[in-house]
Amino acid sequence: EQKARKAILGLGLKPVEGVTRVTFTRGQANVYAIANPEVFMSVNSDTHIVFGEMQAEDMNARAQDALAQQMAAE
Amino acid sequence: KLSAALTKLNVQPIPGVDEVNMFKDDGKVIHFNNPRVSAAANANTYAIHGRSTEKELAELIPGILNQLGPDSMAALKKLAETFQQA
Repeated sequence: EQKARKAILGLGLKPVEGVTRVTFTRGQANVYAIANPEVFMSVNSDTHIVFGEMQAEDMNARAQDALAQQMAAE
Repeated sequence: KLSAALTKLNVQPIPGVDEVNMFKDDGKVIHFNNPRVSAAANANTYAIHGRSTEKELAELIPGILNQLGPDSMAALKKLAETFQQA
């Protein structure tokens, strides 16, 4: 990761501040999330670079959880 | 140039990614629809190519609910409160 970081940051990327979480959705049931990522964006192309550890998440458990919490909040 | 650097890092394309969302601490979400994603898993490095749009969390509900982390709950609660006031 160190090497990757160095190689990529040498290219003049702009850091994106304040990102707490990045999620990737594949199909209906697969969500992969990176918590506390470091995000950079390229100034001259539509490319974002994310550093961080990715974890697969159980979407159904998450959905029920979120729903329950939303109910509680309301 | 960037893609050359990424190639050197042995990134692999990840097919089938429908969307990517980046949650920010101010309640905004950077949303990518059908992006091209590639990853160098051993370097914990991910590249996302595609047009991004910045959206409010509210615009992406309900589809996004199940992608929220525990740290997004505060934002969600705030949102629920604004709904109640409206």
